[in-house]
Amino acid sequence: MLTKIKDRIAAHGFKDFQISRVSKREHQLYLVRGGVESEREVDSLHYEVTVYLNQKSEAGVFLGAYTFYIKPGEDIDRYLTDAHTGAGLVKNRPYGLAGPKPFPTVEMLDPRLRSAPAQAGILAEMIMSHAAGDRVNLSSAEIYLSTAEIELSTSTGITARKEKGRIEVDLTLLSHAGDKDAEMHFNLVRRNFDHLRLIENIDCHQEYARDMLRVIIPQNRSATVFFHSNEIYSLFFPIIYHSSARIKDQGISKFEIGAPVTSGPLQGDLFTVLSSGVIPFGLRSDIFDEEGTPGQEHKVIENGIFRKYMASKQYADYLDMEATGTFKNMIVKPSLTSSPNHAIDDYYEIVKFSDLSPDPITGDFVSEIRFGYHHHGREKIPIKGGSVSGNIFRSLSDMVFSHVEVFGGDYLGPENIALRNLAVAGV
Amino acid sequence: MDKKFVGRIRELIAEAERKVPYASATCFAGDGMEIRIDRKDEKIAALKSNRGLVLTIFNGEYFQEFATDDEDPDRIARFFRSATDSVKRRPPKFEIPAGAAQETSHRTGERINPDAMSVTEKLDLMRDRRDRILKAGQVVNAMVIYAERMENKTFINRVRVVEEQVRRISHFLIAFVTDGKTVKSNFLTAGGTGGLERIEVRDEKIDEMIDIARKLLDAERIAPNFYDVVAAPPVTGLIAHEAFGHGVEIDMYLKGRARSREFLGAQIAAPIVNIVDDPSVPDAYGSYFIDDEGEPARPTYIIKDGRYVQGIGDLYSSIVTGLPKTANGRRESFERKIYSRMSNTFIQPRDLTPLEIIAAVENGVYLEQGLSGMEDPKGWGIQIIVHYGREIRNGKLTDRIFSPLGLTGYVPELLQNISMIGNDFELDGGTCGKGHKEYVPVSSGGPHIRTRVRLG
Repeated sequence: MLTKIKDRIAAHGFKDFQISRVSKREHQLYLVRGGVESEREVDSLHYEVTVYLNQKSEAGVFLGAYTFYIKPGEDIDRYLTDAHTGAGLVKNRPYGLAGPKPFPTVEMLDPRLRSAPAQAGILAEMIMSHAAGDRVNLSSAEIYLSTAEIELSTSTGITARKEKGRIEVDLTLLSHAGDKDAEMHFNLVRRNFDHLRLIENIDCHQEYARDMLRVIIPQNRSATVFFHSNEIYSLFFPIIYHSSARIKDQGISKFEIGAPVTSGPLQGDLFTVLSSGVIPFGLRSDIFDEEGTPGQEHKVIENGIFRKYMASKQYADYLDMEATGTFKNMIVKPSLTSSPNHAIDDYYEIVKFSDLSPDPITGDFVSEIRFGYHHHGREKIPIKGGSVSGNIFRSLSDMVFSHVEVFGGDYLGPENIALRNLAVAGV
Repeated sequence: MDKKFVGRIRELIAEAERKVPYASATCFAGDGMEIRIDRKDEKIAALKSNRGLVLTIFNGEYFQEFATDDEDPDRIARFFRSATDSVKRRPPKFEIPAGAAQETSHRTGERINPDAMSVTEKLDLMRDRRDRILKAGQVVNAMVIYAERMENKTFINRVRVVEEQVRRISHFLIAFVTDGKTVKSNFLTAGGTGGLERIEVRDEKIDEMIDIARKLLDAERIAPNFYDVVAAPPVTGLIAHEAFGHGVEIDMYLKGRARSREFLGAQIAAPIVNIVDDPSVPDAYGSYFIDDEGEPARPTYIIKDGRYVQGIGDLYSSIVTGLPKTANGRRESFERKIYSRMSNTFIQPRDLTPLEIIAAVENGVYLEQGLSGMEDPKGWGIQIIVHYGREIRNGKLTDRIFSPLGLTGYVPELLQNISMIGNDFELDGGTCGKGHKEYVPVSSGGPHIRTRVRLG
């Protein structure tokens, strides 16, 4: 099929192309209250094809591109006719495609995923035998175990293959005491079974579920708020957005190379942020990306100073910079200059927001508190409801990092980060 | 769908049902394209297709599904036999009703056929809209997106062959403005099921969107507190969707995850409130003719005169809970499971004009543009992120603008606090997840409403 696609691409007059053959297999198991609710097997195979068309006219030189998806046995010529029309209409600035380069060795597939149904059964056993505890039982669980094999072939001579796996466990616990009941939901996505730490996570969420039975709504005030590691990628998403060469090209990025990312006098810890495509079993690790750029690791922010835009080949060419690929796993390295956590004796620890999605352009955020604690001296009071709001860019100069480092799939860094002077809305 | 292929699938289902209590097949097909342009770049691409077949088998206790995107008839026959042989057969706990015999075919109507307009003409239309935004003062970038997708679905079981062709059109316009120090954005959406008439956007609407983007440069953060609010239709829709849409998906009852089960038949909202889920609304983005279990689309009254009357359900959850099956069994794609899902969810309009509602508020906030929401069916909490709101003083809108706002609260309190409902009606299209996954096209909306909520 690949040879046929290449032959027909040439016959339709396209000089450049990228073809990815994507084959996926997934086993899904759904549990409700200790029994199976459903079981699914999914298989798919398709080719993702992007063709490029150079155009010259009185208006200048342009490059057009068109992407389509085709399955084995389909009429490739019909797709290529549409592609010729589409690519011929698009008038983009020319850029080059990635060429062959050595690829790193990065572990992306836990070999145990090759026997997914058996592994799903093992996980289901673990869940059913550990989920029930003091005043807590299992509501439901969903297990997704998938493998994907991707082969990339480009007109610039790249021929490469990679395999990756994905393990997802979505779990809800119910707690009850007298006429009160509550739920605690969590979702774990990893590439390696050992990184799930399933039993440890169930134990920890059982405790949260019990504490959920005695939550109160916080009070309206300005306060220090601790963000757990599972929320930090989302919290820092505006940093990823403004680090993008595409956003720089559009004139929207706040960041300038060599300039501080903080504004105002520094009151907290400085920090270093890296984008890494090579963390073993990192969710966003990649031997090579969709355009054939090898997995890499780069310092994006170093001690509060912006160092490098993350650029696909297209925007690297436009801005005359290194093609790094887009932002991958986030590594945060604090330079601990200020007070450790235990010196703060009145703060909110948010275990889970309902949906933390900061505005990528402005950095403004506001999100409901799904569950957390108010720490006040020796007291630890469970809270739920109300919201926390602030602006991540304003907070960059006033953050405190925990000393404990954790790996959360696509994040490697402090277990929690405290932002001071955030608005807490409650009663 | 090809009659010969349908006939072959029916034979394979009959063959499977000699070994298992129930089998059905759902075939998904369709194509689509997207145009995405901004100040500097343009992109035209085919949309990733949802083409595949799901074989659903009841093993006596639960559903086992086998999904493939292979379309070769011989391999599909082998796939059916191998799947049926691999099923873990159990003594039947209950029966799966095959439904009434039906052979129907439906197709979305359209006033302006998208196929009659060339890609060049569509691209030119998008470029015109982008250029209109870029010509305005303080604009640093404009993004315009157009997407069309024809979704074909055929559900087949031993007595039923029902198929639909639904065309969904979506259109986004975003303006990025600056005052030299900061960048803010505002957006406009259009779309629905049907033809290009769904993306007719008046120039004045685009200019108004840019004007508000400029005003957002001076927006304030609101002091956290409880406020009297008037919600415009996009925010009314998010309230209906998050508060009492997700909360009554009856697959959550199986899991013990929805508080609403305890309130079936009870007065839960102010008596003026009616909330409906209706996949048969003409032209709406979340509309369809049959759900993914072959159930014909029809409206479900969720709240009638403030009383919770019925949830929305898929086949398995309905059988196990004993509650009625509604036309709400939906899946993201052939690769995903069926859940109880919303379609078009809205509060029904009543008799007041929006101006009458605003005039009745002495001090409050007009919540104009929603962004997103998140459900909490067990805790019965609600989170809605509102893009911006305007101050109301003495029954009039002032120039003061707040952005962004987080609306949170306790669902029954919020619904009981609804004191006025407008006579206008709008539906906003988008996608909805079950938690943070399983995205399906939906719409939500209603009229202007007045209520009292916590803002932060």
